[in-house]
Amino acid sequence: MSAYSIFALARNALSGHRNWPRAWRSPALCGSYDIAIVGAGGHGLATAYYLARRHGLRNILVVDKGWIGGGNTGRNTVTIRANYLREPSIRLHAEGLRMWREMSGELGFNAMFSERGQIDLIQTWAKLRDVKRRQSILHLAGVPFDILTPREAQAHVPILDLDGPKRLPILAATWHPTAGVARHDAVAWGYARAADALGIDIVQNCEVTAIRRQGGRVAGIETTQGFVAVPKVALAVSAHASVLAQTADVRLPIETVPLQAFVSAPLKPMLSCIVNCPGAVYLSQSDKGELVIGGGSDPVPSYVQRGEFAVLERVVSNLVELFPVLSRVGLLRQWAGAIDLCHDTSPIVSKSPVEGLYLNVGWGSGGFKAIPAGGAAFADLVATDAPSAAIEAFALARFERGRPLYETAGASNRD
Amino acid sequence: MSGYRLESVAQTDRVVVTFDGRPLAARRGESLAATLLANGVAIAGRSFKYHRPRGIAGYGWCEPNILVQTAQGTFPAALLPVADGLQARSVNCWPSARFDVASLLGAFGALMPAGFYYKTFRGPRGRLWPLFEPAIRALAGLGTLPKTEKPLASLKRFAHCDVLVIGGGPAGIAAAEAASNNPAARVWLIEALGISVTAAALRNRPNVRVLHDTIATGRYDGGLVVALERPCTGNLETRLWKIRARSIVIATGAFERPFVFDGNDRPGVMLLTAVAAYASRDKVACGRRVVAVVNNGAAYAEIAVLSAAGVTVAAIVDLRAKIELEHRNFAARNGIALYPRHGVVAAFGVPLRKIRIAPLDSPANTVELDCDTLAMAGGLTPAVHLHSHAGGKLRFDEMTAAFVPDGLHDNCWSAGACNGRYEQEAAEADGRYAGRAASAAAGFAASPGSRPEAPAPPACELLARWETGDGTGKAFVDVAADVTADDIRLAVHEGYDSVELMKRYTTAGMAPDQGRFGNMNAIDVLARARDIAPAAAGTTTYRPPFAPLPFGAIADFGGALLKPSRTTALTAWHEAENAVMYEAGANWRRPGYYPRADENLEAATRRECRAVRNAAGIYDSSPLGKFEIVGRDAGAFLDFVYCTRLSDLKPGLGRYGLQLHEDGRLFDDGIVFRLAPDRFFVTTTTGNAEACVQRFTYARQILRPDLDVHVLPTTEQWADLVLCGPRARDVLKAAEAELPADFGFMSIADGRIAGHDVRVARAGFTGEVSFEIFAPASAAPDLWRRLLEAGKTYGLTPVGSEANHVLRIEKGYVSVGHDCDGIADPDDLGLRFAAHIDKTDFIGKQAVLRNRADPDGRPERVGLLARDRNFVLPEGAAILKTDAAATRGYVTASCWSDTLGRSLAMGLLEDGRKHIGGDVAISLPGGIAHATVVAPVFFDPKGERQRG
Repeated sequence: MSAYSIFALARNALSGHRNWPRAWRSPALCGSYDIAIVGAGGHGLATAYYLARRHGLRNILVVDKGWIGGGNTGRNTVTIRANYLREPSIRLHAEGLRMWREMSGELGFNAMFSERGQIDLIQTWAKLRDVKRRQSILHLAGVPFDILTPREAQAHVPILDLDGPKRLPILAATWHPTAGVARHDAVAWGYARAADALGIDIVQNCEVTAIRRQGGRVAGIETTQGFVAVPKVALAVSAHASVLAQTADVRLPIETVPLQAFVSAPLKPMLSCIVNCPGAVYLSQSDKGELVIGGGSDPVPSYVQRGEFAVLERVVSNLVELFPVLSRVGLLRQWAGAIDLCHDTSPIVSKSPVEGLYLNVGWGSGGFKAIPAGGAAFADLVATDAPSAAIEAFALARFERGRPLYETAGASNRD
Repeated sequence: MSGYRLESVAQTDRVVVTFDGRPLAARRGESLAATLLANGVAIAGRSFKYHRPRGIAGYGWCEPNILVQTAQGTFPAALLPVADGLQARSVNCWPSARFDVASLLGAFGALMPAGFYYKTFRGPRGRLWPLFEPAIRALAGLGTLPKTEKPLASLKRFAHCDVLVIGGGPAGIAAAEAASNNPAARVWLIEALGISVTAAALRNRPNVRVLHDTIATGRYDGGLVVALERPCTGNLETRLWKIRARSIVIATGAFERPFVFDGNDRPGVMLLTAVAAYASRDKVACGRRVVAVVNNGAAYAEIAVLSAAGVTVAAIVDLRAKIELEHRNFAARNGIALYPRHGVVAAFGVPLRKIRIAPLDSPANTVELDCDTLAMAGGLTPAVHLHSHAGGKLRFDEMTAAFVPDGLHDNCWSAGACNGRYEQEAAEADGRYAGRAASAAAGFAASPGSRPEAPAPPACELLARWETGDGTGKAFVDVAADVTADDIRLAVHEGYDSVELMKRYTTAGMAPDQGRFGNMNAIDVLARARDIAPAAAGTTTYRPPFAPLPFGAIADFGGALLKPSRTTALTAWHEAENAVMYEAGANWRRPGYYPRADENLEAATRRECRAVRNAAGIYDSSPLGKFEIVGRDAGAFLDFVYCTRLSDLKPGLGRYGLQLHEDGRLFDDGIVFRLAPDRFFVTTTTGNAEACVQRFTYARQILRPDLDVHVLPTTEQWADLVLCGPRARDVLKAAEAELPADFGFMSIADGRIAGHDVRVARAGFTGEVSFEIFAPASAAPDLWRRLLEAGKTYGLTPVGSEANHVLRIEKGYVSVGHDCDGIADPDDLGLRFAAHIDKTDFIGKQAVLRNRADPDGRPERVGLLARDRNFVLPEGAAILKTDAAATRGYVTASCWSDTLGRSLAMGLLEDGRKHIGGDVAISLPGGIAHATVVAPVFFDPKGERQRG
């Protein structure tokens, strides 16, 4: 893998940029591998990279029905944070934040991780109670997380309107300074390029149609380009996780719903941090100047990667309520991903009842931030057949045992 | 470039606008782009990435280059209507568009190929991006936030019609006419520019409505079309239409394609249709010496328009070798030099001064032509956006070298140019067919017959070639995003070779014009670089909106109207009494406490609590969810929905009941009363009342359709006033209550209080003697006042939810919102008595059984007494494991209790009941607090007071 740098750019400029090596090969699909990873998104590619890097495994296939990073990796709103509620999630994402800071150096590819900090605005007493609880547990885990006054929050978010008419006053805010954003495509490309350089085959435009079993264990995968014999299959897909698992007679407690996101027309820098607002709307400003905005998921299960206008209206209404100054800014582009949700909103990183079938699914709306830490932990699981401490809590068995890992606490108002 | 007006502006239409501080004479209502051209403003902005000088290149929605800043925000100059006094500035440049410091970056352009930022700005260990990022962010972005504080004045309208026609060109008008032949069919036509709709035939049809200045921005699943109107009159700035039609005709036309060569972004290089439109519609000549470059015969009609308007066309460069005789004659007749089989190699000058052309088959024989305007006509690209938004498929049409709609989608016909039928007659025929078909689909016409065949390929066939440069210099495919043909080739070369990867790597198509100008050429360059057909390359996904949609137009009303608060019959009273109102869930607002004089929250809460324990209190519990469950099988239904057995309740009695999620977690609690053998009265928590409507309905319709039962939500019908405390009976007596003589705990009966018919239940949430008085909402204000009057001598005090919170902690009652953490089951919460597992079935039964079989390590509800009795443990504080690095629970609810003279708390603790009597450490911001684990009932554990 040739190193990217300003010097390489200068050298290549002299030859009109015609001699850059390919970022990755386009290998033909082989008939057998040691491990097949389904899904060339951030999770699948990171898993492949860490399998090669940390475990010395090479004979690995990453296969995708579309293009690299074309699923939720390329559709999400890039918020990377660790201000979770449950300790297993906090630990995983705190480790993730460390890995994000190292990522560009590790991969030799600028993933543009930008530690901007996150403000959460609070308008109800119930939410304030929830963040006080979070503060207690996050501090124990060493994750910086503070409660601010509305004025202190405004110092971070100058466009915040504290004085105009609001349905509810802003009571407080939280500040999570180590949260950040990154360039989503670059994360997939960086891992793809690094994994490819370690000899891993990434095959695009090849759909896995079924996982073939032989008795209690995996025999291989059926694809649109033919059968591949492989003893270990690692699922790193989102929307169709439950559909693919079903082909191996594994039923997953996953529901798939559309999740929308949208960007504004590009503006000069006006927002330096991530803002998460009540009413399920959050925003940050990309390096290109677009406000990147997300909201809650659509209410009806669907695999369609399009959202309902009514959901957009709800999200934008909440946005303009808090930031009336944005009412004249234009929506430039809206899109949706299909997310795989477990009812407890935590992922499944786990062995499955079928020997040789591994699951890294159910990340819902929170998968992007977990690419490095989740990918590394999943690689450990696939390589060693044993879950590391980081992911024990995300086992499929938690549903059988009645130990769901609800990320949204049952917080409501006093009633 | 030296534009000028072809006609002087009538005195009455003359206005003055200011651009970059310079006053310009303008015609009222024309676009700012026309004004800039008419005044010879060649450089009107700077490009996104390289800060290259740019001018107007297109007309209307097809103008990719120039955004301007006004006090109201950032707008495309070609879509900004001019009014007197308009002040606009160029964007992305400093100090001005003509002299922009950042354009020095252009000198480093060689270091900035596609994706260069992925390859650098990392530093040795990859951690230096934060140092580079601020400078890069400052260079990007177009325009700033609007200066005005005034939010956009916008309204929403909803409309339904039988046939919606989008676009008022030839095809759209023909479609609307055909669709409206049946006078019963309600036909709407929306037109973005408001200048094409001239068809008199439509004007006289009462069943046709035309919306001018309205752009359809998106088509969504379920036949929803969203359109933005910019009304020309009144104070309203925009109006957002949400239109649902039985069938839709899309007649949105086509865009012109530019050519790709070095310098094709220079000010003065424009689209031919734009140059013609400025001349014919705005009477503005873009330059004094125009050269046209074309690859198709249809373009000659536009050149004729230019000539007829009086614009000098010096030469025509035609990529084709064979040029129709009529076009040759046209050129000869008008003294226009014609260069067949030539293409443009490069453009020079800022603004444009000359171009270099060369024969396509002998590129060395270049010729230079002087011109100040180059008008490009590379054929048309159908505007398939609306077809594609909701999932319509496309196919590549070889004849027109463009992607066209592939068949019908969701009762939606594309017609005319957006369906690849460009010539007027063909477009009209196509429109007529689509109008008939849409009308027939909506039930207003007989079968429409078959679609007219596409006309035979015209003699003036298009030569499918667009890149005519020699591969040197900067040849742009997407001027708006500053992406060159070399960028795309680099992306393919490096492996970013699908259209989607190419788009993301180069950012082609992601600028404010969303690829209208350049996407087809990007696909062409990519396909040639990969040596595949454009059809195989495909397109990226078209996403709404077609044109930027202001957030203020999408948003619903804000402030108090965003989610209107629900008020009880007593809200006005509470507010008059200075109650501090809390958001109570489900958009209800409830009194938190009623401060007197200089009381703070704590003092008011203590006073209210004392009143309930020592005298009497009254609170407004009206937001509580209420239902009547009626029918022969009402008992069986409740037994299924609740984990508590309710079917054996005797009429006139109530029982505390629990509802569980399928996985055994507590969902809701409340008291269920039986009014009659076939009639139950059910109360739920405030926050879950709506969810209970859904749950009961789902259970009735889907899970147990075998049961004869009806569900009637009655939350708003009943006011609920709760009178409680040792003197409650005295208060009732003074209020002349007529209640049954034998009215024990958990009874319910109809009666009269203070002259009002009421339904009273002996239940409450404070542990005192309680009367829950349900009265018609209309009677509540009077009843409340009369009770307060009657209670004056007994110290009756209104209490809020803060006092309620303390009173229920003292009693160890569970609050679903506070104490369950969303995970606890009835056993965990100590509510096993209400989980009747021996029932045949209920929602969550299997899960509760499973949890009982595997009970270790579950979060159990316990009481917590801080070692320092004066210290109130913070709610949410973590309970630590012995090693202090992890937690085993947290404080769910905590308060100061005047009644007990100490602080109290409840928590969820891993295997908590095993630890009763033991000590735990609780994490605090600055240290640790110690507490004793106790059973979670602190006051009157036997419940004697409430039964008394």
